[in-house]
Amino acid sequence: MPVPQDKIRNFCIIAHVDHGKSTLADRLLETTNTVEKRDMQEQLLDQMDIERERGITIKMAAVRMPYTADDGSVYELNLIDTPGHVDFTYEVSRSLNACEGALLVVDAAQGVEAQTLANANLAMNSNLEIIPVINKIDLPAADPDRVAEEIENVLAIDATEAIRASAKEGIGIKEILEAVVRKVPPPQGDPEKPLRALVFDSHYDAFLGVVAYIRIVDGSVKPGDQIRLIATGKTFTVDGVGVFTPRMKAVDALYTGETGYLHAAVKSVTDCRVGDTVTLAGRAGQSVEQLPGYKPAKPMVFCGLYPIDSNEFPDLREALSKMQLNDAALSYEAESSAALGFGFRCGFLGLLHMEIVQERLEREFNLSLLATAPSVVYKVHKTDGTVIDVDNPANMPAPTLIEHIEEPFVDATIIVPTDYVGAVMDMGRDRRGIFGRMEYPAPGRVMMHYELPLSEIIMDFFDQLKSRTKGYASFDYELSGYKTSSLVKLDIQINSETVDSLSFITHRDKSFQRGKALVEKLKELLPRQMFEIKLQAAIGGKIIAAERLSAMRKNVISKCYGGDITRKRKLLEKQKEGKKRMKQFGSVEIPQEAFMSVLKISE
Amino acid sequence: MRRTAGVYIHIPFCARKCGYCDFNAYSGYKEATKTRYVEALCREIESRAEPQTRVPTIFFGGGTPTELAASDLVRILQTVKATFCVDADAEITTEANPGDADPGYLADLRAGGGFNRLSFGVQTFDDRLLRSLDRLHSGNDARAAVQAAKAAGFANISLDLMFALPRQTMADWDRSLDTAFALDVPHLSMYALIIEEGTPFFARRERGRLPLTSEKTEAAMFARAMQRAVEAGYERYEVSNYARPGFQSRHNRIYWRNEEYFGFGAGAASYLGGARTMNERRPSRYIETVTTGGNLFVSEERLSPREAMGETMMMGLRMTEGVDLDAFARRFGVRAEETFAKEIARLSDGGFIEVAEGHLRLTERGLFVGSEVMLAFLP
Repeated sequence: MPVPQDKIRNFCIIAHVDHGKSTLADRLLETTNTVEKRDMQEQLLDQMDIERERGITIKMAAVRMPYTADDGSVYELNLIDTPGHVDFTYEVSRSLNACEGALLVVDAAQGVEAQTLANANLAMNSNLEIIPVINKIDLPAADPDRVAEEIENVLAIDATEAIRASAKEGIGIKEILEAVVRKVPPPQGDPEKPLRALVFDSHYDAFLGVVAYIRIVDGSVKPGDQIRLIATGKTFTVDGVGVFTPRMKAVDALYTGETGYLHAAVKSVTDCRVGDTVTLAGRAGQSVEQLPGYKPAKPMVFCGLYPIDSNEFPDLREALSKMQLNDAALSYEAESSAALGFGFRCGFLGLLHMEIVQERLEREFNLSLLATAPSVVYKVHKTDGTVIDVDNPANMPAPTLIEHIEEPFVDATIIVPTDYVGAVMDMGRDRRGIFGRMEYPAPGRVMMHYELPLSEIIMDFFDQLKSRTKGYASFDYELSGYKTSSLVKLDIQINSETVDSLSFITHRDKSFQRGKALVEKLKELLPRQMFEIKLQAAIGGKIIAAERLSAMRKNVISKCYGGDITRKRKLLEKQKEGKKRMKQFGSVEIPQEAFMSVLKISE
Repeated sequence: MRRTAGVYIHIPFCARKCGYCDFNAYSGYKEATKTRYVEALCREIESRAEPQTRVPTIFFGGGTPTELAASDLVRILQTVKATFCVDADAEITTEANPGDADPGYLADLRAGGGFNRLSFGVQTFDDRLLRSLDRLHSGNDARAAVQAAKAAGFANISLDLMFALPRQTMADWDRSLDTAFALDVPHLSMYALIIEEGTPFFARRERGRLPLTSEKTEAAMFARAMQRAVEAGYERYEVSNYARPGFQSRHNRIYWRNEEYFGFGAGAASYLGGARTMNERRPSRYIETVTTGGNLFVSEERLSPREAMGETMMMGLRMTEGVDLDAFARRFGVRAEETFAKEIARLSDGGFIEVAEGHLRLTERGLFVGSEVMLAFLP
């Protein structure tokens, strides 16, 4: 029997990283006896190892919790987890759309941070009922009154009824559950209408195919139903539906207002994308309108991935295709480089997404990869009037063919203690930022708004920001669009030959300085070779910086007698192996670090 | 067919182990253990006896062979002579610590025992540097040892010298060379210090507590040694070895030509019938294994033809004369010029190797980056 629609509550938790979202989720599962305390793996909602290692949530889960409230009724609470990183803003917005309410968790000592703001804005845009929770009140540095004031000032949310809690100590959990029941509205939607459901996430299961996480907006769905995904137009037969408890548990049907999953032998997540709408196939679903807000995932950051051992190229292709089954945001296309051989140009939502994919390829598929420096997508207006997208600096047309170049910009929000305003201003200037405005959410804290080129933040911006502000800064951004910039392609030449995979795009005013810094860095990174090497930076054939790496002066084992032969041979064989792991460019061996150094050179 | 093989005898004892040394050597063993070791060593030699095998060279190394009594060394040598067909004019060398070289001891080795070559571990004549190397002898001990050896009738004397030592300047190195040349010995080995993993020096370097010699200085010291040795009448016949005509080490040439040898004693390596074996390393376990008749080999590697070719190139290129290409072809049934055509072309184009007088050898440029050249020939 379906739970009455007015007893269903769909909600999520939004928070800045480290403000205690996962701990709170664990506590809710325990308190509602959804999961026994002894079965509780630490922070159960984070499924993947990498997520747990990095302390962030990438994949969402939606857990059903039965809860008997103070009014005596049994409610079905569905907790929908959201990823906590800017790369996944679109996914966050979809999962928010599956909810009617959100717990806004703010650390009682840290206060409102950049991601708090970004996520709260998303939640307000989705018209969610927001319940502020001031967490970690047990900390000695906790100042819940000040934080309540910040929530009101910065977010314009009434914080007078903010729940003061400590998920770690179990304080305020009951109040939170009661607030969810009382404040979050029950789902609307018409059970008599044909099926209309939102896909807010999915994962790929080797046996079931794609498992789509859905929120039923209208109607219901059960095994055997013929369904159609409106955006992709694909039709399938439902094999099973169920709920997360948090483990997957099959049910007879999912009804209006509920969240759960369905599987229908869908072979790839690209056929069942996040944000798509599920309805019934055939006449029944013909007039059903797509839910608003669907966007196919669009990669923003690109890099070349090359197997160190060129024999592993087919393995890399296989691994990428398997990864894509579970990650619709990952794109890849074969490319070749004179310096690196055959590989793939891969597109990612952002830097974190890129790092995670690389790590998983190496860890789960046992590949040894060389990654080129990441690049954004440039819009190049050519003199012939055409506009092309360039995601690989090596493909930038010659300067004479370019009319102008546009690059992607972001709107960035940085929150820091007032002492660090100068440090942030310096960084903003270094990174070609356009200062917007400054706000003072609370005494001693400043919120700064910048417009920044995406290319300036894709490598080490956040690390630098953290180190220049002693770790106090929080940072968030969203894409704002394209702008014309004065950009040039900088080429690196080794012994007068351009190494295509070391080329990068930079602002004209910084090109000189960066070219110089890079050849200096390469001089440090490249092992001495048997010949002298000439390292040069060039723009359109004009050399702007040069260094010489002198030849190795002496490298010969001084002593080798009868007892040493095996060991010395193995030593040389090991050195030879090491060389094989470097990329051979002409007679020069280039180690992996060289390729990443392009964007990491300090300014 | 009768085989010919060199014989190496390992004496793993030292009064004190030096900070840079990664050889199989131990200090602190009691006299009784040393006696049992000599017993075991003689038993090992007897158990592997090959009365038909021709032995042109015998070499006692360590450790410090002169940690044993002269009579022990002579007894071991007699055991080899009794169990192998040792050439009448065999080269019979022992390494010696300059501090142990008193005239009576040396006379016992030469006249009493039949040793005819001495290799002194001098390292440097600079007392300050000697102390930093943990050596127990002084520069004067080294001078005296050479005089004593000559007096005892040794004509074939070699000195080991080291350069690129921590805090050693070019002037220090020049003074060492001056003294060595003045002592007028027919053979010199001059090694750049290698910091081997697992040694106290390695640990000190890891902690940043060892002043390092730059590659540039090391190269300059190497070049200086070469130039000055030639001026002093020596010929460089291997990466680190110099001799007056007729005084090249016949024993060590066996290694560099990748020929066969027996190794007796703890941790000693043998190369026989295409297999490389190594004995039990720790003296106490060595003694026990020999005594109980157990298997002495802790490692045994049978080389593929490709690996043996690689080793023949790696070792042969160490010699100034290089790899004898006809001998290579006779041994492996293929010509090195064909098997390694690509490598030889690339390295000759770079000016690192040359083919002359039927040999493939390093040029002077190639010598300085010998390891880079050699590894090209390894599988």
